[in-house]
Amino acid sequence: MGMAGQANPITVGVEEEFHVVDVQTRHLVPRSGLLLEQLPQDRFSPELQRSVVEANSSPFTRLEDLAGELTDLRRMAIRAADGLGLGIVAAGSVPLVDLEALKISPDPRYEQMLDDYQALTREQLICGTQVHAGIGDRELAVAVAHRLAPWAPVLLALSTSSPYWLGQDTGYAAYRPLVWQRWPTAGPMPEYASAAEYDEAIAELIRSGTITDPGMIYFDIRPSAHVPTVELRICDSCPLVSDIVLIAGLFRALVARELEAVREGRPHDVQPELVRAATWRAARSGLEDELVDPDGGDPRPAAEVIGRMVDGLRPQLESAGDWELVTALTREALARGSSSARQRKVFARDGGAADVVDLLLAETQREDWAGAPAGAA
Amino acid sequence: MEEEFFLFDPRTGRTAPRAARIMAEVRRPDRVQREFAACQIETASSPHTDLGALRRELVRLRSELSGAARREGCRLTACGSAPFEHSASDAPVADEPRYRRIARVYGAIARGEKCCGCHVHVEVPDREEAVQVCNHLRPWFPTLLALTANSPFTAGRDSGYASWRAVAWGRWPTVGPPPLLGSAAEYRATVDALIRSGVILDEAMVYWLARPSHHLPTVEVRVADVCATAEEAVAYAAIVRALVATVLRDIRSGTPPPRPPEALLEAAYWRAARDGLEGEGLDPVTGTPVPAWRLVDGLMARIGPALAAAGDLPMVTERLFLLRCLGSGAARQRAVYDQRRNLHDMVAWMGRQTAPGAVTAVPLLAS
Repeated sequence: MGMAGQANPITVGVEEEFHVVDVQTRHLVPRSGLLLEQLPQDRFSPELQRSVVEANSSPFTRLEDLAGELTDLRRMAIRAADGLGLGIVAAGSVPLVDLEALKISPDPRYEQMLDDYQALTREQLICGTQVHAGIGDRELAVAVAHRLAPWAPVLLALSTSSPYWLGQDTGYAAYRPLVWQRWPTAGPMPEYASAAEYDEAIAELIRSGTITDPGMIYFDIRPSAHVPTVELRICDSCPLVSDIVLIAGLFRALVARELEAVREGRPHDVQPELVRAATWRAARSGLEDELVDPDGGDPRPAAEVIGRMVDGLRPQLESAGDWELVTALTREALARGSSSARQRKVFARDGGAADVVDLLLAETQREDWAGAPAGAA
Repeated sequence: MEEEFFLFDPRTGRTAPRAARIMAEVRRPDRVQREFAACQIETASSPHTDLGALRRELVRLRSELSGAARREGCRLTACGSAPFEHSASDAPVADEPRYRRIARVYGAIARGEKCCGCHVHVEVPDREEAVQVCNHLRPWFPTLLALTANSPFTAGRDSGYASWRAVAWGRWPTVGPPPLLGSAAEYRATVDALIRSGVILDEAMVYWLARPSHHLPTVEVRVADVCATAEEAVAYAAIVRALVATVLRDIRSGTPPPRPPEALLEAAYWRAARDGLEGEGLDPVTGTPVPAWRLVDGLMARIGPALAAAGDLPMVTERLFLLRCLGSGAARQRAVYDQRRNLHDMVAWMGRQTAPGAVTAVPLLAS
């Protein structure tokens, strides 16, 4: 494969959040501070919880390069963690949690959040992966973020990896979105007529005391608060790099298609109440049952909904040079099933949450991301 | 008016799954219903035009049910959240096929904190008008929630919210302000799409903060925590009725529904859940933070004529005065807790407050 398509595909970058666990007890531990001291500050940063670290990739035009850097960053974090008796887990949630042992990061912004949001902050023991697609034009970013809302649940389904929360199986493939939902400003982004109107709405939320800064706009898809991108925020952290690459490839194709639609003035019809319903469905069943098809609103088997989405994006995927890779990764993802299903299988077989943590640690460490051999040709 | 109550074990302060046994012995089975969890029970009053008659019925229902609960060794209690429950409490679900199915489909949401609310039905027989009324009510939900916030405690501690129920309840799909809908046909199409998507099991699971009732010729306003006392519940019903009457006049004179920015409406609702009556509110139309009571004053200015026309103005004015002096349901729970820092005592106090004749003011004024 190569750069057969358009000259300048949209760039994609990824922010990944990792849980920090003790490799002996397999419990979540508030030791991100120690770990971060040994990692480059420009690539790794603290999060709200002291049991979480975040890694930031550069923007790339080739998905293979993105995969390579994500693997490198993980390797770096794993090496640093290793020396401290720690491990890192890329998943929406981990099964072994001791609430009292965990403390919020010592940062004035987070202290303020704890003060403002109380119980919501204390239980925020979840990790997500954010995909950024480069759109220099903020007007377009605002329009596209709203118009893409119906597709976010399908991308969520591909990432579902948070079945356990506060030590229990929730019955959901991803419980993380349900934890998020309790924050103000989470969910599908409303429609704004212009970037100015969007910025004004954010300023109003800050003035009103609902949020303290633009970084606290938690819409499923939003114009980024700090870089010229549109940002997908709904996905759980993914144990396997290949799933992130797949989601990044699909997201940039969706963005490309929607950009064309905006330029051509094609109409759209986003019904937020139905998007929320579809999000719930995806969180509930992941890849293992039905999803709501964004095209028409009917429930269909997940594989069918995803297959239709990929087919529908073929022109954009081909133009970016991603078609072969994305179709191959899609087939693998569907054959493998969601991370949630894999976690539950291990739990049922070996009967222990520790084994689930071991599975997640091992998957997070894997360096043989699926597309590498094919892409290197 | 529908009021949902918890049943608490007086020895532990925790929920007691005794609804089935209490149901078996109440004399008015038509007015008492089971709820989702076996530790919850609901009363449904008859429709009234005279709110004095509504008050008498609510007092009688609370009193009867409270007596039946005592005979079963538990306490009927009007509060939005159970102070010792948490997000993984897993209180047993009522033994009924629909509830068992909901528990299966919704997993951890259904196992989390149980919530008690109060629903006011206001007669609006014309379906088109009922849909319009819901559109016009949207900016007022935060104020209605602030007025009734009565659930600060969860997981054995103060949640930091005046209405934790509003936050916990928000996990269910469809909870939130109803979408702006153009017609009864569009309402039907939206509800059908939600059911077709498989995300809700039936029309009764449309949990919008207001909706045209699926079984009565009414608009059902579902935003409130269950009120601590029957008197507060009646005042709240009067306010909702007057608000519906007021917006009906707007609708009939061709005034379009207000269109608060969606993000601000949600922010205002969140702020009402956090601060209740005692803190800041957020005007969802202008986005300006103001004391919550200022929003109540705005509401009263808006519905004053309708309240006066219904003869409810003196009663509502007096009740709001008492709320201002004594605090909202949430503030009173906190004040009682602060006296002895004993949550168990506070739960017992709530049970006494729920039962008719309980004088809510005394312990607070004495402190």
